[in-house]
Amino acid sequence: MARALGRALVRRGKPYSFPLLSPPSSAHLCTEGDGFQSSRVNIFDRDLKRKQRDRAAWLMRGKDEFVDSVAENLLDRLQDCRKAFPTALCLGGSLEAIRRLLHGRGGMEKLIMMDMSFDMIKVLKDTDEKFARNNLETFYVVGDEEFLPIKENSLDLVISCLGLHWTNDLPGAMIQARLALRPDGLFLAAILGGETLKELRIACTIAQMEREGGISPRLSPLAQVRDAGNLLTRAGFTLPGVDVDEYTVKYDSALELIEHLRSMGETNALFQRSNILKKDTALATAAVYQSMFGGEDGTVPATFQVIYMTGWKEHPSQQKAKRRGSATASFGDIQKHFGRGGC
Amino acid sequence: MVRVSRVLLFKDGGGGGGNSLLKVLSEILVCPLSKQPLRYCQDSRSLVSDAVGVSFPVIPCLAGAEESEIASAENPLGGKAFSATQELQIVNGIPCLVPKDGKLLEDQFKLKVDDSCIAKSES
Repeated sequence: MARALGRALVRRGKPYSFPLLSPPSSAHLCTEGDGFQSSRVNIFDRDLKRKQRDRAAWLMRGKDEFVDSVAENLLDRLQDCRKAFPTALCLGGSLEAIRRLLHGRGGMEKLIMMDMSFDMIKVLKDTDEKFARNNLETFYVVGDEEFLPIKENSLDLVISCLGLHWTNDLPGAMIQARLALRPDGLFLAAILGGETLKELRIACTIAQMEREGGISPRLSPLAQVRDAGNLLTRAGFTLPGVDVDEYTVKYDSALELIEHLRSMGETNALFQRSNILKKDTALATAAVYQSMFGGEDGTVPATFQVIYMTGWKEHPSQQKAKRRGSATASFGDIQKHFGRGGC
Repeated sequence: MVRVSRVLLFKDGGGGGGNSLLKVLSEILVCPLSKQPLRYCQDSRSLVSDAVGVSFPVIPCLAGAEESEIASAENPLGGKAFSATQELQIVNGIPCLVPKDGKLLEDQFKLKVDDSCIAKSES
């Protein structure tokens, strides 16, 4: 319900302010022209997300089991490919886990780490020596997934672990990733899916209805599994693959869940969010959460649905469906051939 | 203009392993808005996208060892060392290529326009 409201309200959202590009001097910039701005729906406050990621850089604990298992699952896919990926780009989200768990997989020689938050990149760069490998050069860049600063046809792998669900224009970001890839390059992404934090959604809605007599979107709209396949096809990736994993993380209390979300930089960054959170509503939410979903052992579970997307940039060596009407045998003949001895 | 800057980049990036940023820059990084090549400006320590007239900062990133180097380089005798340390800063800098971090280069254009106006009125 909160999600539906979020989507309905977004249309009236204020346009993305862009102080850098004042209209008269920047009319030639195609990305944020006036006409373009009105047609573009901005759901997430990217500035706020950037700040939240700054905060996450400070809150980040060394090890996070949920993030680690997602990163491990994502990196495991590299071992399924016989190809090596000499130049790789690692996009936002849990960069730290990716770097820590990489263990030389994928045959990378050059790895570019990109995140929106300077603090995050700084923290990673400062701890670089620990993970330095002889044959791996690592570079750090602050950049926005929506405006990918990467030259066309220059990468072999784009990997994004839990970051792309915060982009306003996910298809656009994926198209840019595809353009940056060389032919036969791989795009690997993990995003949070619609089932994520369903318990918290319910608890927030009930508590807000009860205390404030209305609801405001506290959780962001997330992609559904069926959208993920469409996204890959729309972005022009070949051999698209989507699979879903659900993780249940147990916390001692709902407040601990919020702490965890903060350390991951996954807290609310909707434009239409309510800036005020009353203390009693927050406590009521925690209480509702505990009473509705709390286990017998006193822990509260939280569901995280992670959608893994795999796509390749087109290359002549990849298998494709044959053109329509190009068959040389008819199904009638096949049936005659096999039908005789059959059942 | 772009070709000239590329030549410069290769010239700068041709040395030892230290100038990795410039090497990557010339190979991979482009302007996030126009996807055109970036030029490294030595004076302002920034990456300039000539296509849209925006400069993106390269924030120097100092580890502990380098900071002490700077401290030692700040004595008057170590003029040369200072420039070398500065070089190190850029080399290890983090380029910020988020469009919002960019600065429009219109100020410089304005200055030029003002100058030419003054020159005209004087003549």
